Amino acid sequence: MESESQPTGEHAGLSRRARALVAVVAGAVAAAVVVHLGMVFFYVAPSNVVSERYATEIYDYMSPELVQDWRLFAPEPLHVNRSLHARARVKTDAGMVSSEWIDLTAIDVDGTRGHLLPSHTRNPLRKGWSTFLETHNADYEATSTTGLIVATYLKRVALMRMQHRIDGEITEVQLRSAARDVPEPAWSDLTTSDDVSYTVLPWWPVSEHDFPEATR
Amino acid sequence: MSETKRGNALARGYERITRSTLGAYQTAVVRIGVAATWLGFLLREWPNRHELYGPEGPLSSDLATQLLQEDAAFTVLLWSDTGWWFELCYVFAILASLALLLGWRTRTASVLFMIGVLSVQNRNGFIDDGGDNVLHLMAIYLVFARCGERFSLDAVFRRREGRDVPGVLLWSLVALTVLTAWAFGVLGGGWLLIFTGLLAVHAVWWIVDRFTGGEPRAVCDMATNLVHNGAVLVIIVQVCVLYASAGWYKIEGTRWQDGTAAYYPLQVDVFTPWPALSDAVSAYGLPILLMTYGTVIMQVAFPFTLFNRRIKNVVLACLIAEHIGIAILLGLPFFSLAIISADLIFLPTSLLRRVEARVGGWFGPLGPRRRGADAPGVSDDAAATDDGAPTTPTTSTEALDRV
Repeated sequence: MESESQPTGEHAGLSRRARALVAVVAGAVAAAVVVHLGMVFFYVAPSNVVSERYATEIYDYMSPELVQDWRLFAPEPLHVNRSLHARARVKTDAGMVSSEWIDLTAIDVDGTRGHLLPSHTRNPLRKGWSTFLETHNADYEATSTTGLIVATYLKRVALMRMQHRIDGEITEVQLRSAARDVPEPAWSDLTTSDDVSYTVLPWWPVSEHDFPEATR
Repeated sequence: MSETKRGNALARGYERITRSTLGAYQTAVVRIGVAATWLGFLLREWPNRHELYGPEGPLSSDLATQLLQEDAAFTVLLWSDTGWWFELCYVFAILASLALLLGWRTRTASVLFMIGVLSVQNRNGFIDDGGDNVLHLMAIYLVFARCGERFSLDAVFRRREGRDVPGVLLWSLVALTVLTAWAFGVLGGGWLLIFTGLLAVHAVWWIVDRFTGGEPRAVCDMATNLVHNGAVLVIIVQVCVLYASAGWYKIEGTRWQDGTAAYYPLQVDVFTPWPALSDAVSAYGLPILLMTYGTVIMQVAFPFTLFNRRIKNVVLACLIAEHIGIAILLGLPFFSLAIISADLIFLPTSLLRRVEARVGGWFGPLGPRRRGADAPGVSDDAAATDDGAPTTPTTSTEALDRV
């Protein structure tokens, strides 16, 4: 760090009042920096005696604009290939029929392969799914408002991606996750099963308002 | 004896933080990096903007409004759910990034940039990644920094005292916008207070520049330096917290312990833009082990290397190189660019001075010259006199967008 020297002539010989004012500002800035960095530290650090005692204060200070999470690829790196699939119940002349499962994540893989600048459009399904699991219980019932919203969000992303591949009126939609562990490295003694494990969500009703107009 | 020495050192330290802008070069390159990353992102997502953030996208205005009732994050995008408002805000965010990148009226641009970043990111909290998180924080921190003193249009076209008509117009426009937003009931509470406060600070600066000069101006300058230097410290510690926690949390993971962690993401479909390259990189155990352990060691060690300039520079270069690798191999360019931009706060000044000398050769003087150091500085003052402007003995540094 190098300083930019500032003119000293004009500043020299400040009155007592001016110096006091500067000192007050210095104190305020110092206090603000200490408080801010303390909050950041205890927000990021694992749960401890201080962060538990002042949990509310820390959360109120950091949320919503200063929240941060640096557990990048940690504690475990991504090691699962997960695809989200969807199928629809469609009203046809012959009655209700269920469509085949459609791989919604395939679009994201296509959008990544051979691209130097992949888009954020691969995040809704991937991040939406983990948010969904965090905000739902074992029976896939939402445990918070965020849970209700992310479920609707996932449904709308799914409908946006599948509506062009379905003929007829979609009345219900169902999502499932197909997860397969990345095979262990060749030099490793560990083995993982090559099986795909499915997590199948209940059917969700679809209304015409569930179709986003901004389609790809 | 030693007590007076210590007292002198304290006094000198106080002198430095009140009378100088520490890390003026570094904050300037962080500004450029952060603004360029966000600008690149906004342009990249231009075709997908409706799908990601638009009122008719999967996260409709209605859903986003419900979500924001949960955490009250700031976004202007939800002030209206009409299509034209969304387009206007998106274009505004692009222009604000451009202004900050170029260092055009940097202190105002940094606030507009922050509004753009927060508005777009907070519009859809389901899709952000670590890079967005870095940009979010840096956008806030840069508001407090004098990040336009180097490598900026402000530094090239140093404005003269007292006749800053475009500045007054810009201020009035922003003030009018804030007032209108308040009148419509979309802006209130803490953010209204923050914007009003920032407007007041700019107004005070204009007054001391134009009318008082002298001591009030000196006090403003020192207060601004203090805030800037505080922001520099916050950015430094923030990046250290980022690396330290990223490193320490990895240590818990079995794959980081057994040295295979770097292998797995290279086999995940949505993170392999170049599968053949990923396979080649992840084919052998030893390179993967080196990458895995190297990452943890560098991230955990980084804060401590700051005490040794040479080691710090080596580790910094490695971390930047690693993020370039991540950008290409895992297809995370904007994530990597955001983190590299924040890393730039640690670049050595000597390097940045060389860059300045090189760049300065192409574009003329970039950055303020020291008082009386060279003739052009004097001729600027002469020009001011010709215009009949008040002939306050100003330096080029003072004539910057200086709040």
